Amino acid sequence: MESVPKFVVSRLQRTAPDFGSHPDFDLLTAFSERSLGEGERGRVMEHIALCNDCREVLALALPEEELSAAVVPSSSGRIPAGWVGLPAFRWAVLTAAVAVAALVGVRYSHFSHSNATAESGAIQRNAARQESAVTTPIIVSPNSQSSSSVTEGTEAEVQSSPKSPEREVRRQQAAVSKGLSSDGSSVIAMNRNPIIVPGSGNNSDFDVVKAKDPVPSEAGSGIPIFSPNIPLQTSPAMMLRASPKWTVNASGNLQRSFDGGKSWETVVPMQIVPRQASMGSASPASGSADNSSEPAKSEPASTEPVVSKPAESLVFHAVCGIGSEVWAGGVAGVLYHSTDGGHEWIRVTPSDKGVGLTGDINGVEFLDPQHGKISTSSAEVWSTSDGAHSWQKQQ
Amino acid sequence: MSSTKTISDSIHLAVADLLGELHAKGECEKVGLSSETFAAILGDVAAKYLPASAGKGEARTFLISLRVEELALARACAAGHNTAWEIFLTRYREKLYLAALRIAREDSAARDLADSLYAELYGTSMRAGDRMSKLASFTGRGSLEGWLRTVLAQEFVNRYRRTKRLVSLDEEGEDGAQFAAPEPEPLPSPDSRLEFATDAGLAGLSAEDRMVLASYYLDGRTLAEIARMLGVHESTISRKVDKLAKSLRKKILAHMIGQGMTRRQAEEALKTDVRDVRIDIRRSLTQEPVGGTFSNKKAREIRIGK
Repeated sequence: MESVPKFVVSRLQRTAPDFGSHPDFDLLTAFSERSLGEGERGRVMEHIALCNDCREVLALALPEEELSAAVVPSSSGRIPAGWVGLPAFRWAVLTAAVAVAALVGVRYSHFSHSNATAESGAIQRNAARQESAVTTPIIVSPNSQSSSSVTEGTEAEVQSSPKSPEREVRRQQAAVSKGLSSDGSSVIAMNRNPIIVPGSGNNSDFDVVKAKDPVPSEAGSGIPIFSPNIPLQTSPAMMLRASPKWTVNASGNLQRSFDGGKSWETVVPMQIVPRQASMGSASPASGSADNSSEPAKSEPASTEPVVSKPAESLVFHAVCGIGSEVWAGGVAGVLYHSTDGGHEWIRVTPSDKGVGLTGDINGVEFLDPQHGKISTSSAEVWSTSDGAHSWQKQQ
Repeated sequence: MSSTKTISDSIHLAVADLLGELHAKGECEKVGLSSETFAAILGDVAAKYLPASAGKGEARTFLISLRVEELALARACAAGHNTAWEIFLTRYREKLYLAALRIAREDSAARDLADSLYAELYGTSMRAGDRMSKLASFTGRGSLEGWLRTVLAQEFVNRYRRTKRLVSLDEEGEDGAQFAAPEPEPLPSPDSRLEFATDAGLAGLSAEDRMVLASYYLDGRTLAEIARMLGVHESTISRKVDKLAKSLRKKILAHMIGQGMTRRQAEEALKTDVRDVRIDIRRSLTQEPVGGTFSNKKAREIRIGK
């Protein structure tokens, strides 16, 4: 990072003007949330550029996690997609996802059968866990050091590194205090990242990302078990990650960052289809044809875990993450919801009195896990006040 | 809360047009706000931010952009409606504490900060027999949650200033303040051309560029923080800082060379020690000193001293 001469910094400091008045709290909030018009934003910016008090307040008032990640128009080309963004690569990802899902289904079916015939459920489960620990390479993707790679500004980050550890600890403590990753299961569940394509195409080296077979559930509980003996998919540091930042890149891929935006990994939602799915108006699967390809579907349902399956080719336009809750919407009204930081997804189909959403979803905004709005290319605005169980189309 | 600004006819018309829609959208009935009360609130908010010359269309656009549900909730709380307070506390109590914890970084201080804000939100002070709730000043330009964080942040800054003025003698001694040498008389600048060139270079920057530079070099903010403040990607800020630093240096050099200095002289002048440069005491005192805010001093020293 280029530095400026000390003299310039001193002049920058001393040109602070005499302020008549500061922008009120509403204007500062609206500025921070980018909801001011051009003129007003310009005036507030003029003030903030010269007023370190207001910059301080703005910085302190930043949310713990971004409420809604920046939406990058697909035509902007601001983020270089590189070869990751090539259509061929996207198809390769999709194909790999389908292959993994099929493998997952076969393995799970095998496990369920053996589990039903075993005299001791516990012994069988242990054996299955060991089996499921076998990993299957699915994607060769860029970036062997995704957690530490910074495309630009590396020096600047080194310079500001004294802040980083403290902030990271505080972030994780806050996440734990919110119950996002304090329990072992939710942390370990991060291993179940369906398909991760680290980096955003700016990296030159490669890494093999592995996906694991699903892990069987505790009998009778319906909750998947995640054995601590399962080898980590990535580094231990990654296991502690919580509350990622979310964005959509120029190619319409969903991306998340666990290091404050230094590095991004592409996430392809793997839909979760509960055995006996019921989520109000939320549709668990994208279509019945998808369900039919699921081998484990015919097994007894009540106590078995959910099954991951790949979603169709997706192009997202907007994403919103609050803690572990993530909503992502895109082309053809596709809306996905994850309650565990993007590891498992459920497709949601908003409808109101039998009328469904039309157009592409261009905006997703949730104030909290219960209250949110989505806007579409056909100028529709849909809102929910019960965590996406029911929707109201606004007139 | 009634506005001191006159509500123009165009605002009245726009409010009348949209009142039914906004009243329903804001779920005003649920929190106990009548149409008339809400119309007055909308009129006040529009009059506060719109110029007197604003037309009906502009007023309509403005009113539609408001977060009316949160506006109604806040104003209903300010008016003392119990249902509104129940909704407010359910939605924001935990968030308010978490925001306070993030700002204060310590549990007891966070609780203290959050409690003091609750007192202000509820309205412990009285004016003309009415409780003065801080929520009555919320106008719905941004989210209520963001507004609460901003109010908390300002309160924290105010507290910091108050406690800073009451530093114990022991702390002063530890900081070496008791033995600090008197401020030397400002020295004249070694070369006024450097000041002129620098000021010209800085004056040529846009407000956003200047904000980025000040945040990075003066306040010691990280690239990620600046990016979040501006709602852009971190790499955008990284590129911008790099580009600005380079272009500013070039402009200053070119300006000085244009004033008759050789390149070598100009580059030497740019290396001038800050202590040799005349300090504008009056202007510096209008703001907190650079090292006195909440930013990590170490990080800034490392960055500036690089």
